Amino acid sequence: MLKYQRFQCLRSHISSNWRNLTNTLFKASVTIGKPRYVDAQGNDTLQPATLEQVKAFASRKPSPVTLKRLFEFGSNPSPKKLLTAAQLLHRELPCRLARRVIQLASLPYGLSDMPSVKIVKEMYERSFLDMTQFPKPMDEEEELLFTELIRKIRQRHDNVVKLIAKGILELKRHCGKGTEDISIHDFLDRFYMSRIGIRFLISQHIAMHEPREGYVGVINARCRPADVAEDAANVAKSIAYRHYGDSPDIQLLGNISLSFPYIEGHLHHMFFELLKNSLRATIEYHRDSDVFPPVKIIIADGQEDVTVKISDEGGGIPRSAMNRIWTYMFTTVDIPPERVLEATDGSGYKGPDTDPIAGLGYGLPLSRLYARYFGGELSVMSMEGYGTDAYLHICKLGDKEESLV
Amino acid sequence: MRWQRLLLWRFSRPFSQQASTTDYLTVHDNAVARYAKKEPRKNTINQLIQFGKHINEQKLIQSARFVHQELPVRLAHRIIDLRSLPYYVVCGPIKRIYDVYVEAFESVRNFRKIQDSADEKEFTVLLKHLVDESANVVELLAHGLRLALLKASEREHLDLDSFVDQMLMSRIGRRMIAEQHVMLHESRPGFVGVINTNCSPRECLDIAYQECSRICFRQYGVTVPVQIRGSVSTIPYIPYHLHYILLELLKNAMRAVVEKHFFRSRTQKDLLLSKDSLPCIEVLLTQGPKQVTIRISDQGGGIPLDILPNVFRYGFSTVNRLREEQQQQEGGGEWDLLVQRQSVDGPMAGLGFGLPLSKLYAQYFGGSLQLVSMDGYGTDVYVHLDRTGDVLEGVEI
Repeated sequence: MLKYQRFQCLRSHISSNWRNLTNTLFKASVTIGKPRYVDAQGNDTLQPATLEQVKAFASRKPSPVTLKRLFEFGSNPSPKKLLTAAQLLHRELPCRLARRVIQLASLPYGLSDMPSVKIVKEMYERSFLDMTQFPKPMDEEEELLFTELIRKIRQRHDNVVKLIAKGILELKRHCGKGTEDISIHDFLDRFYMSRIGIRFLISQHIAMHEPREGYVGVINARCRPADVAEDAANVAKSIAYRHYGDSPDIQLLGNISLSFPYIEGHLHHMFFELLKNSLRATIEYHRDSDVFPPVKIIIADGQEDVTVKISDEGGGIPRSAMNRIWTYMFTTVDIPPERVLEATDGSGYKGPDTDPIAGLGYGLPLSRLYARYFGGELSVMSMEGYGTDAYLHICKLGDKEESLV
Repeated sequence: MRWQRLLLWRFSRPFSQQASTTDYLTVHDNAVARYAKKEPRKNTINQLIQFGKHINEQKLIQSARFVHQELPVRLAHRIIDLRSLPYYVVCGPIKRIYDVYVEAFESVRNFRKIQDSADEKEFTVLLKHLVDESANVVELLAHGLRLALLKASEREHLDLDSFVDQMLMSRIGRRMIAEQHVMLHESRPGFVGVINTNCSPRECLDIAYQECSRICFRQYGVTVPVQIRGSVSTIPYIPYHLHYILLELLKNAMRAVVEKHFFRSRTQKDLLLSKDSLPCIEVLLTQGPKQVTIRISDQGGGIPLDILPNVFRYGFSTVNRLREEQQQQEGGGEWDLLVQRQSVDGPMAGLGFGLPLSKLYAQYFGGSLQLVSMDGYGTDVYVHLDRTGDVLEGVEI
């Protein structure tokens, strides 16, 4: 069945222009086959052929890349390079999507059966099929089509974080299990880490088609933590002004001129989350005083590592709460599942790889995933009664492989 | 022929099945097993204070009886641990530790039942003797570990960290209960045994800083300034524990700052002062309802990434290679010798025990010690101490 479909695609490809072709392809992917059907027992499940394909791709070993390789490869993108990159992605993405399909189908406590999780599962199945039914791009035109395909896939998955969050709330209502459970927490860590990787690779490829001065894809060749921190600080402060009418100062110290190639969007996300937390803690802890102690950012340049320390005097985190700061809790307020999709994080980041992630108390654990993605780390030390220090370690040489799960 | 057979027998069987030089094995084997079956009885600081607050003869006898029962239990667990080590580890220094522990076990266990003051006083004398006897156990452990790692490199990957952790943790506890009993005979204002009911972390810090500064000055001709911020109230604690931790951390901080900012020349004596003044060490004291936190931040350049994973492991020293060679030539740096004299636990610098041991001291009554290195900038160390006094001792079984 599949071979015939591929042949049909190729035939129509040879004879029409690419805009028509896009429409044709997507119509084709809708009519070719639904990934799911209801079997004899009445279970909603994947087509056997698709399941076999998913398993085959999932069992292939994924190939992690390093930031350095992507950076070097992507400098001066020629059509030939773009084609090679597309072909590599065409090989790699189905593998990663397939693993998510398998993971989403085998979650603990019946999480896989929650309505929102089912939506996400189908999303991944659909994307997997789209990828596998698309033939390997062999020339410039096909490469453009492929890029369009992955752009659509990325857009399709924009709301995954919120949907999964909704699914977890549904599970909580269903059987009381929540993110404090270790297997659910583990699933979220692995799932989101994988998502960060897939989205980054897609964004990187798309951005190579729209070259910007000083950037290789979404990698800023001369990313200055000081500048990114300042931007994030401004946004965080404006939010503080909006909510509280006032804001502590944010001081930048250490190696201000330091620059190295890095994914600006990730850095912005992490700084923003940490600064937001620091500002809020400081304001609330010192709400009865006139002057707020400043939040200090120290940038340290090491031989291989860059460390950014964000220190506040916001009273610290109580010892009893320290082991909970890394769980995916949805703040202390219980948001009903129906309201989840409305939440925004207000980070204001407008780069080409914006991810409309929700501000659902995901800030710290997600930031840590971003840090760990290319071999870094995020740690938080608290001094109860005084304040909190957050340490962001980033590998500046770019020679660490993506963290794959 | 018999001695040859004995020799063969000795070298071919695991340690636990061999006759020890003192030949206790067959006699007390059952005793060790019996005591090792029991669980150690843990106390909190507050419980110890409650007990020892209004001390009288009857209470001293009670205390002696407790130690009489408890020490052999804790020793038995360690003896069992030692016996399950591979043979080649338990030669030399570690064998010596084994013998010391076995002797201690026997002498405490076989002490007569404590009925009156006279018994109690004699028992106290025994305890004092045992504490002195085992003063150099940490040093022996360090040397033994080094030898074992050398031997192991040919055979297998040997990880003795958790074994050493248990040994040292248990040692902290045993010494504490022994010294506590001995010191109950003294009456010092504010103290119950070795516990200072109003231990001031700030005072401990000042004392530790003075000591460190003196040593630093003697070694390098400079002192590293310190800036202390914040204040905390007093806590019930054992001053020696806190002193050990602070001394170790300040020592590391000072050494890092000095070594980063000095030019090296051939001999240690020709260290030239750099033009910039030394960045000060910042110490912050804060407290919450349940804990006191001491943060020691230096700008000594941080810990090199290749050493960082090993900072809390035993046997890895952060003393840099040049100094290590010099130490081997001069038989131990002056800095380290001077620091050695301050501590009952014996030489620590250069043996790689100081930091992990500090961590154990911090953890013993429910605290913690955490380290963050900022490569190229400096190191922050966080010491959390429980101030409620209601946490059980961290005796590992």
